[in-house]
Amino acid sequence: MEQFIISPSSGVPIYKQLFSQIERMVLNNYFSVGEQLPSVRQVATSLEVNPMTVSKAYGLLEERGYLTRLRGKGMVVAMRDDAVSQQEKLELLNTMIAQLFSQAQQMGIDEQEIITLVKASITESTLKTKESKE
Amino acid sequence: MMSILLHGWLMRSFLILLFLLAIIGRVFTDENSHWAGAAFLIVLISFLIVVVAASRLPLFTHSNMAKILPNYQRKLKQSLIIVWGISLLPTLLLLPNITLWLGLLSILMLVAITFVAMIYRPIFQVLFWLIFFVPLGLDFFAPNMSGQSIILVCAWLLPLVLVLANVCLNKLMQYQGNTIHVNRLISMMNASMKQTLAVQENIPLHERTKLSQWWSNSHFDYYRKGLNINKDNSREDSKLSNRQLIAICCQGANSFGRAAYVFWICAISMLCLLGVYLDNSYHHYFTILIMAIPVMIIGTGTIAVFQIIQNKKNYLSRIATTPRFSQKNSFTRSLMVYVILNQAALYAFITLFVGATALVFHHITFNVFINLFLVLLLYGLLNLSIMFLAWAAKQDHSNKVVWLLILALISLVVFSILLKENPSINLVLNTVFIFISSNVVVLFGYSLNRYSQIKLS
Amino acid sequence: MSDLKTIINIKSLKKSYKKESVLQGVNWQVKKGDIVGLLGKNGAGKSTLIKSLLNIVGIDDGEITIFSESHRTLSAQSKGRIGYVPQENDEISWLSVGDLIKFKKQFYHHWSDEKVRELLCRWQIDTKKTMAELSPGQAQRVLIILALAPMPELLIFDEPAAALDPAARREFLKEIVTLASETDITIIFSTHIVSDLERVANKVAILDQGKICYFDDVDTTKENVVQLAIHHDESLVIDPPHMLRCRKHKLGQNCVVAKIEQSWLAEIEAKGVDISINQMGLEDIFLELTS
Repeated sequence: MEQFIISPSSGVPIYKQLFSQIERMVLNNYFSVGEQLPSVRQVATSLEVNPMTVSKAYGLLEERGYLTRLRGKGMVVAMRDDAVSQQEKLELLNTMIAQLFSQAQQMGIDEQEIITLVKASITESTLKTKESKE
Repeated sequence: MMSILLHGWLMRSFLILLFLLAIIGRVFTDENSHWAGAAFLIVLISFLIVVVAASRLPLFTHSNMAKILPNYQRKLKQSLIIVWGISLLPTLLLLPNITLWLGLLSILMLVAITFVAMIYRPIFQVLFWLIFFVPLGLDFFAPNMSGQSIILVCAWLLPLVLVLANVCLNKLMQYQGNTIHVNRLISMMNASMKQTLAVQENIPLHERTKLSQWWSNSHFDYYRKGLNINKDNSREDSKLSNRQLIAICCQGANSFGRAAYVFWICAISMLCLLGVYLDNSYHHYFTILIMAIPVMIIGTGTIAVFQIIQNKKNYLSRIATTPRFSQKNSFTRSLMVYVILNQAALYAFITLFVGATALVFHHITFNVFINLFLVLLLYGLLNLSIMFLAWAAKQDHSNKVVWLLILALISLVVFSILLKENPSINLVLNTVFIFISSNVVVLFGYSLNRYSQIKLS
Repeated sequence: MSDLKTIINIKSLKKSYKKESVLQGVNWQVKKGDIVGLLGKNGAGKSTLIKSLLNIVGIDDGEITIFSESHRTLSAQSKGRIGYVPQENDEISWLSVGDLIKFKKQFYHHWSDEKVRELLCRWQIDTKKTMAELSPGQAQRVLIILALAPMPELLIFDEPAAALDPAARREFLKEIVTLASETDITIIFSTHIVSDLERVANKVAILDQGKICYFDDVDTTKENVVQLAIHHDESLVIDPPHMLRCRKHKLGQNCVVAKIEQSWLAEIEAKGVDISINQMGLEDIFLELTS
């Protein structure tokens, strides 16, 4: 369960931290469809957090369609419509971009500068992937 | 410094009370009759002051202040001399008799020096026991000496004793000693009277002296065995009664346990054998010892029980909340049974002790024995009543209670001496005694009732 | 108010020592399965509350029920369902751990030797050593084992972390979590170390000035109690609802609220005021709620 990291003393409730972490992991295809997640008890004891907190996060993920409960197997990653999944990925990115923008605004950086930065960063990362392929 | 050495208003008023008693005793008894009571009180007051002050001494001699404050040693020495002077004041009551006064002065000073030595070096505690054999030894080596001439010798020795006292005081100011032992003492002395014996329970067993470890373990082992009994025969663990369980809770290093009984039985048998073997004319040398032993046993056996239970109040009330004691009053009842049986065994033992020694040494008549037995019974009931009332009280009065117990013990001693000196008194038929004892019995009943009424423990 | 799910019900509990009033009308209910962290400053009366609850000390006024029975006349069965770890180790010091366990066993009708063996093994406690020879942390663990051995349904810890070093404290928290995931146990632990509570408790109760002044879910608390950084010019004064504290400065104000009223937030934002919401850690929340 080393894949989950929480910070109990932060203002964000632990179940929310877990929720967004697993959400990202599912969207990033860290977990493949049908893969079984660790049990509530396993997560709770390894992170030393209340099991109810873990079930709360799992419940929320189930509600949103990321996980499904399989009898005898526990929580597994749900089969998802590609279109929906794509939509959600974009939504997630969108919120991250919104955060980025509000930060930039506070620092007094204008739109043009941000766009240049983003473009530069994209070229850099494509270069890197090419290098690693070679 | 002086106020700390003689700290505690209860102790001070207690001493003043004794002093007044001594004055009364001195005024109302004529010169010729042996006014043993007054003399006893004088020695007792002086000794108590020495005990209290000396037991707090390590706080000063081994405090960190000693190295920092200017003129510390000189000031300490001064206040010690003043306290010592105060402790010797009561002897002024003896005054018309200069030889007796001077003699007693040097004896008391020697006692004080010995006591301080005993505090810093436990090995000197052997001296305490030797004191009882001083009369015997004197008679062996100097058979012609009478009491009068001993006092006379002591009186002449006074200058020597003074020099010795001065040397000892100076040495004390520089004394380093065994740090572990002194630290242990200091931790004990910070406590007030309500602790004394109980505080020693906090010293871990492995930090105690070897003798004390062996002593405590010997009676702890009895209870350890109780817990492990029939473990080998069946899978079932042992079942102890409520009383036995409470007894385990209430055991301390100072409890008067099995080992203590065995030890005293051996000591008494040896004493009796010695008494049988020795000629009758030597018997009177043992009377002090024979009278002192029961007093010591009663003193430690009662006060230790009181303090240990008072100290464990929290623990016991937790024990009382377990399923085992869910029946109404079952805990208080079991605790009462434990305490009463424990004390009854102690008093029965004392009675046997006095009886056995009386048979061998003939120092008291049968009538006096019966009288003593009655007084002891009364004292036991009174003690138990005081303890139960104190435990039942909402607030913690242990400090006062311990002084009350000591006062009761001293009255017991005074009464016993009086009864021994007046063999003709018959307490069974004495209306005053019957009146007092009926009152005590009522008090005892009331205290039992009070204790069983309390909400919890 | 008392149903099967209510384990503890305290009504207007009052307790004073001599003339000093410690508890001044505590009202509190604990439901089955909750892990409650009882927070309070030093001397707030956490221990007194716990001891009153267990009938270790008598109470002056009020009513306490545990498992729907009055706390003064608990049946043997109910008593056996409670485990308690006291703040200080006052166990009989001359008994070896093994003997102490045998001794304590005699006070209970139910006792799991298996659980005891498992924990002794896991925590590597030498049963031959006497209680006096153990380190404070080890002794604390023995106390915890003794409390867990009767397989309690209600477990009460009075400052469990006091004698433990950080590593041992984690170990202890892990044990609580394991217990909670294995059984439907209810746990109350008093502490002033907020970080312990944040991990394992699902509810937080705050004892302040003789009363339980706050009792809610830890998550809800973290979501509700937030800091608002409001940016506006000096002329404006804004009073958010449920305000706990507010400090004005040059560029606006910093406020702490117990709850955000969404309608109020929309209204203010429509006015063009810039508000950012910052979430707070439990420690800060505790300080805000008790000062």
